[in-house]
Amino acid sequence: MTKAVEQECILEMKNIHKSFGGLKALDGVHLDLRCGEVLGLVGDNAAGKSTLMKILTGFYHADGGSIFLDGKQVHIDSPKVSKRLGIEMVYQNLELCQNMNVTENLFLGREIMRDPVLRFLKRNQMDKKSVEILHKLKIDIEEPRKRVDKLSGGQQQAVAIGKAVSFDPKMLVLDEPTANLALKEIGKVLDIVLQLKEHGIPAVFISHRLDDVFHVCDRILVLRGGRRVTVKKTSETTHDEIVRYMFLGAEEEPQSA
Amino acid sequence: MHEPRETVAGDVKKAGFFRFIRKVDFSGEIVSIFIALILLCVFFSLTSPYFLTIKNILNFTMNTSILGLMAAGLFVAMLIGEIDVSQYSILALSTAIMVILIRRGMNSGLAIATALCVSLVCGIINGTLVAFLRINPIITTLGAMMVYRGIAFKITEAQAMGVTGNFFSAVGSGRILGIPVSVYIMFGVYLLVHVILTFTAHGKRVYAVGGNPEASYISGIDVKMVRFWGLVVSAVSAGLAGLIFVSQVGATVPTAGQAGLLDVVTAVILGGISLSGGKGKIVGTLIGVLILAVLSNGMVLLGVQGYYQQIVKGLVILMAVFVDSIRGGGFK
Repeated sequence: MTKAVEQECILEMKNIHKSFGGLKALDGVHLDLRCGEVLGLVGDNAAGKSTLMKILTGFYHADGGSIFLDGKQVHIDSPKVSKRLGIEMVYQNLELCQNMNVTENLFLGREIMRDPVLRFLKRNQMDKKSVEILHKLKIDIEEPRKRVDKLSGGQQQAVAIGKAVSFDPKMLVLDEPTANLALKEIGKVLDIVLQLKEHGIPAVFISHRLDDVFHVCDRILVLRGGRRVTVKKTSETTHDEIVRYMFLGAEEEPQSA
Repeated sequence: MHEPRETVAGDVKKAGFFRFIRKVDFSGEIVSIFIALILLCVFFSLTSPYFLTIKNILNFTMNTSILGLMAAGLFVAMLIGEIDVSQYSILALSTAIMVILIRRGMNSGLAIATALCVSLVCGIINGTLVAFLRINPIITTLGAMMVYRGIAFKITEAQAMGVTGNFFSAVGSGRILGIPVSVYIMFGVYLLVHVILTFTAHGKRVYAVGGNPEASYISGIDVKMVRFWGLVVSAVSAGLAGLIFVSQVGATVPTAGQAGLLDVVTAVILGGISLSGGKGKIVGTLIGVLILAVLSNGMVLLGVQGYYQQIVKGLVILMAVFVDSIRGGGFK
């Protein structure tokens, strides 16, 4: 099902530092994401996972370090720049407009319009494209004009991922996509993540649920107290080992995975 | 998981049918408030022999057009999650300037354009304070209300000032097919707002910002500009209502609307808008306006004292807000 993971790096975050007042949130963290892979980003609360990804998506500015995308150094100082570079993030709290339908959410901010001034919508065309986007990821939503608040939590998460994918991104960041979902819904969301991998879209998968991480990720990067502890190939590690790294920490070893 | 299917167009067509059914909104608040309007009409037609006469209906509909126009503008601002209580003061200020200019010899058309520009400037001031400086919209528009009203009092020396002209006669007393021109203007504005909100990207962004500003921002929408324009639309609708006011009354009155300061807000709330923004339909606001008009007219016909009318209107606001909180709209 999964394509062979290629070794070329699409993203590299090198020696990232970030402090909030006296609190050191990130201390020289390194992250690399390879083409076509899903990289698990795990750690206890306050490990620095979200901070690292918020630096990548332009919500925070790093105090030090550099970011390379496709081998070129980039400066991401706002979410807009991050989007322009092809980095899409699916947020933990969904970031969908509950008062709007699936199509309206998928096309929010980049609607297909008949004219640039009055901005009348091509609603049927948008609906057709929505169905295409959702079917491409095998997302089970039949009515593109169904209001999002009428969907289940899993379906909403699926729409959020579909929205991110529809921007044709270079890479995705999925922030706790299975949090607060029923077991059946979690399975569906994980299927969608595997679909992303089939389509060759690399992703960083942040989660507290190690079962989910082991199910979809090719490698797992562990953070603890704002420092990188280790990175392991999923096939070469175990739950217990990752838990040990998450809560007890260990010295970073040379690039093994 | 479903396999990709090839009947995309068929799905959309099917969705279109259900969409139509949902648009009728049998379970929603639009039907509820429409039933409330009908019940009110039935009650007053049973208790007053004058209520259901054509003359009375046309009269109160005509009188409603001023309130109705402002409510359409305020609906847009409230849909974004803002509020504007300065509309009647903008009406007073813009009409005062217009009438003074006409009395000093300016061409009526130019004076009317100036009045609309004045309302636009008031909207730009309100919009800048609320959207860009993020000052609380109630406090901002309350302050603005006092400033605009004060200027209107100063330049008119607190006197009503009369004005005449072809435009004002046509709008004030003209009728087409027996229906007052101002009613056509009001319905025209409602239709325009409905079309913009339903069929354009501008409208969708208004709903988006009202529903989830963070998601809108992340999606690349300029949230501040949307908020800014919401307050501009609200102010310009007050300017437009001012033209009808002067046409019907034949004068600018610096105290215009002081007695019914919150009537416009009441009408919009009655129309089922969510106080937290993002949810509501313009047709609901129209029904809310008509409920308020029927209530006022009916109470006058029944000889209910002004004090009691205030109490009833106040209770209606409280009921509407209560219903909103039950619906889960809540307050931000």
